[in-house]
Amino acid sequence: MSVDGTDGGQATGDVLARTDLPTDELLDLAASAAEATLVVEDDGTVRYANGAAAELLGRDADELLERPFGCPVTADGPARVNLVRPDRADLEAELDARPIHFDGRRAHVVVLQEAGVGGDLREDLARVRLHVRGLSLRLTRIEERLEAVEARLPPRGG
Amino acid sequence: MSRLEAVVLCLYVNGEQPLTVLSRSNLQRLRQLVGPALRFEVVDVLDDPARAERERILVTPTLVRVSPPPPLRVGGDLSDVEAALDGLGIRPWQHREGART
Repeated sequence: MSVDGTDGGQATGDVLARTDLPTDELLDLAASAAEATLVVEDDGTVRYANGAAAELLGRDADELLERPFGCPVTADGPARVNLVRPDRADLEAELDARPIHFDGRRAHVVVLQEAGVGGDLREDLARVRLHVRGLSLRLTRIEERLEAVEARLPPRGG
Repeated sequence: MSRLEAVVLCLYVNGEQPLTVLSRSNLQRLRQLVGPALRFEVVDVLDDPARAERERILVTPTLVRVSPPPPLRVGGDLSDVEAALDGLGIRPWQHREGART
């Protein structure tokens, strides 16, 4: 449970799914996420994996790209899954998936959090930082839109 | 997908644990929805890690539509059987006896 009262994986999924940001900015946020984060396109293929995902799944991030993850299915809240690692370590995780648009295509941001791990204040802090960065980027975009509107206004006294 | 075409699924699980029991149970629910046209195989990644690696499985449970092509898969909580069927591109009524085009 994080400081804002939500599960860590869900909180990260919320931030990444709500940002309405261009792909490069979404990836920038995902790269700084504390939780293992994948972007899975609608055809089930992994299009992005952050460093935490590579570590949790025991594979290089490059090895995860283009891999067929499949359509993530969650019923009510995060789904409990087992991770299939090359070292055969027995790890359980919670899987949270949110619909996003990625490079103009429908996709899911998938957040995996190792079961039984959490409550660490540093991880909570990382999530809060991620949330603040997401808000900051959204504010920047709003400011850009306001400037664009202002640019279309007739000159003062005109 | 043509009607009454056989559907072959493969469920990847991890050992005999509650999650595996639940996944098998959900697979039976899928079978009830789809009917006898559905055939399935269950693969335990602990018994056959080479196959899991060959099929590039990342999490269990993962359910793969082996046939008809193209291969499709879903992973996560299969208790939402309708979402699972949707992800696998399976429309139950197309595979039941008496189905009309």
